Amino acid sequence: MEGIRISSIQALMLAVASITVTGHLLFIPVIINHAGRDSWISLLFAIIPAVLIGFVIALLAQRYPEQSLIEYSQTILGKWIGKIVAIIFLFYFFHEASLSLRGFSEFYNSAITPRTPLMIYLVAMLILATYAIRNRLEILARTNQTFLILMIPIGILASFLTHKDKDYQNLLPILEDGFSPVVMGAFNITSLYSSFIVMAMVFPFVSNKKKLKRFSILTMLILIVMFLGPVSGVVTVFGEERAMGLYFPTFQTLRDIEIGALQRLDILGVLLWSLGSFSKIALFFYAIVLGLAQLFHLDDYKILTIPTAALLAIFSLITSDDLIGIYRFLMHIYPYFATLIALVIPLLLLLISQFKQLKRG
Amino acid sequence: MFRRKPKLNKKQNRKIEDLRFQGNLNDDIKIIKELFGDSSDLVVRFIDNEKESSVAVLYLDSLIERESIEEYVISELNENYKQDQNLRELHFATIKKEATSSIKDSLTYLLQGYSLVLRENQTSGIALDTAGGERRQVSESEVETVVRGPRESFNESLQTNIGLVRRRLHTHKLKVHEMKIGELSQTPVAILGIDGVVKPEMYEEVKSRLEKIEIDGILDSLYLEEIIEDPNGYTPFPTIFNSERPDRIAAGLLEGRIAILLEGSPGTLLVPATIGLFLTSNEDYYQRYDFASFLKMLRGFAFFLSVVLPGFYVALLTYHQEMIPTPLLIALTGQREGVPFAIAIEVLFMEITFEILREAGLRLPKTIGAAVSIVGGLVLGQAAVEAGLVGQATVIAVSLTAICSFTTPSYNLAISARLLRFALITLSAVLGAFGLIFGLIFMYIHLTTLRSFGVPYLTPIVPFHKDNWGDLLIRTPWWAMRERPNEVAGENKDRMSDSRDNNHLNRRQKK
Repeated sequence: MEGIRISSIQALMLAVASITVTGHLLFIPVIINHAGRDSWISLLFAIIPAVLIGFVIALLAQRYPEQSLIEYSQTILGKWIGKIVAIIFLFYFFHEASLSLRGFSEFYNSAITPRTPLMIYLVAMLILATYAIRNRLEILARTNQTFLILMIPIGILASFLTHKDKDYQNLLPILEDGFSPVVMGAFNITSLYSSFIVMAMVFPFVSNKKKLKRFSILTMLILIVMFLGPVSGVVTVFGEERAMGLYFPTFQTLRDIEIGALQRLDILGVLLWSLGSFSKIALFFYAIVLGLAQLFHLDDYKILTIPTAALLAIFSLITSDDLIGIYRFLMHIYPYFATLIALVIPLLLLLISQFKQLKRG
Repeated sequence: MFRRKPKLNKKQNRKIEDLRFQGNLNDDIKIIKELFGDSSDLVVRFIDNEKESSVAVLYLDSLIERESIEEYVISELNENYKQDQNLRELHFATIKKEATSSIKDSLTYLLQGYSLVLRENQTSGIALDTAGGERRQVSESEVETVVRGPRESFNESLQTNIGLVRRRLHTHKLKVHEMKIGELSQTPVAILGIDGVVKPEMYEEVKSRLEKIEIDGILDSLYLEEIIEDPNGYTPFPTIFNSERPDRIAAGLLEGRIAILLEGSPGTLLVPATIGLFLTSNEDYYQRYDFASFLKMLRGFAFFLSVVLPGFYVALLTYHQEMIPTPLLIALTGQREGVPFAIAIEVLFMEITFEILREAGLRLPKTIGAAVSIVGGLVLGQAAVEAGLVGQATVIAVSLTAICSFTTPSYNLAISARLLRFALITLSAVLGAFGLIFGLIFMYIHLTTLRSFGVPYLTPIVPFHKDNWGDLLIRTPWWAMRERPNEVAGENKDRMSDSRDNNHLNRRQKK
């Protein structure tokens, strides 16, 4: 469909930027609510499923190098079942995009400008995403590349600057409540990392597919590292109880930074999450329209962008009444929902394709 | 009844293309005279008297150099031709001499300042290069000034300009392709590129884009710039570089870019252009590298400020007062106590005033320009604050922005910053910091989509080329600038020989 190619590093950067930033914003409070001060152990537990996710997606992409997730699920499962599974994936992308859209708007709305209607932020973000997508994946990858390089120093700087507020005593005692909260937290993290499946829509355009496996696993490890800082940082700065009560603990830590006379660096947070949310929303938005176009054999997805953007805006408005509803969903339903679609189904796809191959060969 | 009837112009129906010299001197002259109408500067000089003469010289008085006509054409005819009317060959000592039999070609020659010699019983004329006329001297550039480095700048003559470039690049590989553009103006345009350094397909692309131009006249390089630039949709950013300094153009040619020069304008185009080109001053290459790097970074920062600062100021004071240190905030609010307007209105008011002042300063004669700056600086700046129209901080923010925008080396890019500033002020006034960031992200995506003759505008930032960063925000010393920019240059990327043979590099590495 598209004659464009992106490099594997660009693909890696897309995955890192899109998963990290909304993860920091929306998932860290959820993880902390589950695992409390032992969240960092949950992260270590999550390494195994995370690597598994990266491995499965990369393996599938290498097995069907010119096909996207939507296309190879039809190749593997046959036309009709494949189409149904593809629609499930598309719904997942759609839901994920609208969730982070809503999450970003809620963050902005409750943390910075409380009286501005949510719709403004939704529309602004969607304008950016639509503009980027209409210029195709290459542009998205390139923009994201710069943004990520811009974001990482800010993140590192933030973790250094909050260092003086950190009290590592807050991490003790370790594993007071046993393993079950930690496992629950790890499950949550796994569900977050499952959104790596969106890369299955991007991998067909990666120029060098030989290193995909290595890059995917590397991506997952980078993600683990990127979450270690904020997860432990939030707990060490605020202590377990206060951290559990905060809506946006990571933003709160940024807010408390003081450099001399500069007291509240909110704008850094705004910059960080605007850039990151843009990356995530644009990437998932791209996956939706590309998948739709592939499902219905359209020549070009451009025609789908604006209607899909409108649907996304509406869906993210009605998806929940308020932020608490979103958090409740993320805590109790999302882990099962996301892991089923983005980890179990691809795993099944891989197994079936392996089985078919064995039967044939 | 009201339908317009197509006009039939009989004169135009007689096709000039088909007209040829018939060998009858008086008839031929009559045709040419008719074609020029009553133009008083068409001179027909018969050597004897009009009735008997069998030879005549035609020229356009406004385009020729009188001395060369007198010396080389008329005296030749007077001396040699009068003695022997049947002389077969006439020897004119002009630089160029062309035979022409079609009237259309002869017209073209006449219009370029050639003089045309017609003889009785001959069906072809001789066109002799006697072009001249007043030209501005090659002088120092007033727009792009330097402290150190060459000072010459282009003038309005194409041949002089090509010469200025050739005098810097003494190589036969410098290819010059000339063509004429403009149905009526017939402006000579030259495409320059160094063979083996430019991408051949890009050279062809430039050629074909220029050949496709259909327009009545070209008066400045901007005409070409807007017609041939990539179809990027609307963009406030310039995607073709222009300069009037031959050293800058020669440097561009050495990097594998292609220059487009034209008769009648000193502004010379350089394609493909990337963002780094616009943020670089030619002096960066003529000052020591450490200082040049400092200046480059300073300029990049100033450019960023000139776009962002007013919007940031508006966002900060309208929505994010908590980010300002408290003592400063108290001082700022104290100054603005009597000011009735919102910050955004204040800033817009000052910005527009500044733009008006700047425009007034440009259009006025230089002697009155000083008066404008006094009125602008003293009366508006000081009095507006005292009258309680604007706060002092606003004046500082706006003037800082203005000064920053003066540091941008390329006027083309500076004016796009001027436009974008207003968009960012508006966005910040409506949405605060998010508006500003929204604007910047949008701008960045837009920049990523831009291409100049197929080359991504933001290279080497994206697509990433680490070798070329040495010439973006810093300037590496000359002995380390070993490669031509990726994406721009053709196959041959080495500016210097292999690093093993590079004496200057080796001498440093051994230590």
